[in-house]
Amino acid sequence: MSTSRNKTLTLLGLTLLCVFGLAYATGSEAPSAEPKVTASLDRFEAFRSPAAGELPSQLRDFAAAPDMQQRFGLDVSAIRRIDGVGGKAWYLLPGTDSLCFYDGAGGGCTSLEEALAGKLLVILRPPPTLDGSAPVSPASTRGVTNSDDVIIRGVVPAGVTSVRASGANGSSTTAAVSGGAYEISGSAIQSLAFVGPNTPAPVRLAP
Amino acid sequence: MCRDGRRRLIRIVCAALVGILVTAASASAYSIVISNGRYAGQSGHAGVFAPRHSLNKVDVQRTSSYGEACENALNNNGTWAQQNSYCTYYGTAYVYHLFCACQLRYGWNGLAASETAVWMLGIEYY
Repeated sequence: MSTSRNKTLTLLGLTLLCVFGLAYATGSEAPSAEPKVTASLDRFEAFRSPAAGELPSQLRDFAAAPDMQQRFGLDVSAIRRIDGVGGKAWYLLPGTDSLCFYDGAGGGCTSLEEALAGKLLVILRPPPTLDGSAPVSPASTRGVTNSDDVIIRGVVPAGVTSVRASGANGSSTTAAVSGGAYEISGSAIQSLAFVGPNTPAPVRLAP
Repeated sequence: MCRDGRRRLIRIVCAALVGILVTAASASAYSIVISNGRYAGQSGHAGVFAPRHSLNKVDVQRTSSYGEACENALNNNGTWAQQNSYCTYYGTAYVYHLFCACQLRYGWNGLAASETAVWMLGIEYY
C-alpha cells in the first residue's frame, strides 16, 4: 500500500514537473504568433513549388532557433530552395508576415510588404582594415578603409527579369535575375531599378 | 485495467520529460550582445567587438529608421571571417551570417564606411 502510494506520488510529482516545465518552455521560447504562409507569398515564384526537402542542418537550426522564432516566426516546413546566383543554392524562409533569405552563408529578413517591393536585400561591404592585431575584447575599433565598393544580393517577386544599379557618377550596371535572386556589384550605388513585365518601383539605397 | 492506466501514465510522463529535455537542449545556446544603442564614427568604419567564442551566428538589426549597420567576425589570428560584411539597408533592417562554431571568433558590429552614425542591436551566438 505504502509502495503504491509512493509510486502515485512520484508520478504526480513528475506530472507537475512536466506541466510547469512545458509551461515555462512555451512561455519563454515559443513564437509570439503562429507562423503563417499568406497568399502574397505566391508572388514569389519559389512558393509556387513544393517546399524544400532536406535542408542543410545549419539552416534548419538557424530557422528553428528561439530568437528567429521570436523575431519572425519562421515556418521551417515552408522553406523553399531556389537556384540562386551562379547556380548556388539559396533559400527563402517565410515567417509571420515576413520573409528571410539565406545565400549559403548569411542573409537578411524584412516584412513581406517590403519584400514584395523589392527591398529584401543585403549590402556586402569590405570590412575595415584594422590597426594592429586582434582586439582585446570587448573593444571599439576604427577602420582605415573607406571603400564605396559594394555587392548587393537580393530576392525579387516573379516578373522581374533583371536589376539595374545606378551609381552616383551616372554609371549603371545590370544583372540578370535567376530563380528570383540576383547579385549586382558596383561603386557608390544609389538606386536599383527592376526590369520585366511586372516590377516593383525603383528602390533608393539612401533616404 | 488499473495497471494499463498506470503504464499509459508512465509513458505519457516519460514522453513529456523527453520533450522537456529536447526543448532545453535546443534552447541551450548562448548569446552576448555586441552592440546596443547609437554608434558614431567620423571616418571609415567604427565598430565594436564582443568577447571571443566559437560562434555559430552573428547578426545586427538597425534600430533607427535608416542607416547601414554591418556585421562580421574576426578570427583568432586577426583576419576577418567574412570577405564582406553583411549590412542592413533601410528596407531590410536585419542581417545575419552563420558560422561553423568550429573556431574562436570575435563578433563585430559596425557602421558602413559611408555612415556617420546608426542605432543598432547586434548579437553573437555560440
